[in-house]
Amino acid sequence: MLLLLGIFFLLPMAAMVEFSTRDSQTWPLLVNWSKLSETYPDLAEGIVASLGQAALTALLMLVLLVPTAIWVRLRLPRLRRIVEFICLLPLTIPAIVLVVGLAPVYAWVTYFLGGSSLTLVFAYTILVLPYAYRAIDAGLSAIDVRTLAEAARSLGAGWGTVMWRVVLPNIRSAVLSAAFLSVALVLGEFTIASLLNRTNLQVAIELLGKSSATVSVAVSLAALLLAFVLLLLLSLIGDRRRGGAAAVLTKEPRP
Amino acid sequence: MTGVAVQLTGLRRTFGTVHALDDLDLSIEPGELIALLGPSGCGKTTALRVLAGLEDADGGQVLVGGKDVTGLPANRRDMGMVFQAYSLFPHLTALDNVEFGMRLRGRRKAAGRAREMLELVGIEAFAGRYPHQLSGGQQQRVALARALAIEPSVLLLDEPLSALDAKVRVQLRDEIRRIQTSVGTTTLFVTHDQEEALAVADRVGVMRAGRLEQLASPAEVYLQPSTPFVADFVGLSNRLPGTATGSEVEVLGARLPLLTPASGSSVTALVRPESVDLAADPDGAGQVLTTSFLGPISKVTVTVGDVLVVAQVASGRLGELTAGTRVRVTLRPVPVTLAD
Repeated sequence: MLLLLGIFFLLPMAAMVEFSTRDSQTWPLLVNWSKLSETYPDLAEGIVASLGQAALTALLMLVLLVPTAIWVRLRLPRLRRIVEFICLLPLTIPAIVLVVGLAPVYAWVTYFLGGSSLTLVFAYTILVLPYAYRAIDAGLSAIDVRTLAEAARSLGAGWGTVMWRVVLPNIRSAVLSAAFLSVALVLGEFTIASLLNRTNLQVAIELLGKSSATVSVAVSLAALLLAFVLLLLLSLIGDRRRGGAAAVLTKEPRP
Repeated sequence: MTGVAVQLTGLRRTFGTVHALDDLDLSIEPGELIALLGPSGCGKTTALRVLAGLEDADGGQVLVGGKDVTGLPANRRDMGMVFQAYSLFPHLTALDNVEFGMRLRGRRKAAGRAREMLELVGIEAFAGRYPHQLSGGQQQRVALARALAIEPSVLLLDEPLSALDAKVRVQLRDEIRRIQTSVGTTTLFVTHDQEEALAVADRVGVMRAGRLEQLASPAEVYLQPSTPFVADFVGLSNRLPGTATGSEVEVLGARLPLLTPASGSSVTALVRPESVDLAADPDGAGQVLTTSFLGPISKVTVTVGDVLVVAQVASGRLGELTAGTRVRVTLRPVPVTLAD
């Protein structure tokens, strides 16, 4: 079964490696940024745009979601189900439907902020909410946020200190997971960018596919590997957390 | 460090239709340790949380050292608190946990004082350990050191021992009393464990339905309960039928003085097991039903007609009081309370 799955996943990748190495110049070109941006300016623009979008989306998501999730846990527990429902909503709406709804909104965004591809960050923040919320909520569930916050408050900490110095350090891996998931999602996003006439890596790859198939496949493979590395890092963080917990259980505490 | 006086006046707090605090009045003298005791949901923890500023009162006033702190947020009340749940910050070592509050106050030499505090609670050897490397008892010791390190005007202990096993609980209970006496901080200790409350407190407040039923010394609460609820809740009591006449009640042939006057003649008296004497006697009215060995003392259950009587006897006497033995039951003339 595992072998079958392996073949299912690895075969297309092997085909991509084989196809992208037919032209010996393809891979050296990918690691030579100046030459790449000179030869394929659209691709270079797409890569820069996607990296910017990924970083800003992760940042905006964290700024919005982390304080909200902590505050809801601490002060508004009754709203937890509603917030969870809202955060999971984008998962149930197909991207094409989202775009139909977002198009008039983006008319205003373009009017106020211009047509920069970075404005996609707003749409992407909504898109990554379900995954990021799940990660952060799991992190918060693993600690007794309420007691920790009350202990810090009784020691003289204001709400800012409670968030920054008490809660955040204890959900660090959850925050990192949320950020990695967001980056991976944004790097692979095509539908919204394409339909809203913005550029990003996937849009650039699609365009490039029409003129230089080998480079397009090589870049796709590189993006896939990057996402794979990110998810591997995420899994390693999870393992370290579980490893820490296991270490606690194996210790023999003294009274 | 000297303690300050604390006054809770007319505190009210409702959760839906439940009155957690119902016009609660409580005065704590400077340096005093008061234990609030009561069944679950009686409002003891709510009273402590309102004093800490972690819960808002619907009405009433909180005075600390004569200053009204009712509207102050928790972080500006200058109170050290130890929680029932383990509350050490998991990402900080024991030492860093103790330093946390002092650093927030910008105190110099925080590390030195933190070490002193860890020494005070007898855990200085574990200063570099993280909470997950400490046992429950050790974590609560660090939490106590952390609360005391900020030199709080009031120390609040919210059932800090309830998650610990019995032996550690007794050890730490005595430690808390020793430390509190040495630093002299005014302390409010909330617990549902009557033995704990009676052992550590200067005065014990027994709460019921958001009100104080009695606030008195441990001995007074135990020996002279002011209400049937207190008599029933604190310590074990036999519920024995009797006939009240004036300031006395006749129970199992003995006339016992009453702590509170009776409203009718047919009553139920609350008699402590240690007030019941048993003597093996083939003509006795009672018969031993069961015996329970509890260490130096034991519990013997006797039937007298339809009435069950529990007596406390020295364990050395268990040999003469085996199940089925006929016994003579006598009650010592100790003042008793009547059940509701």
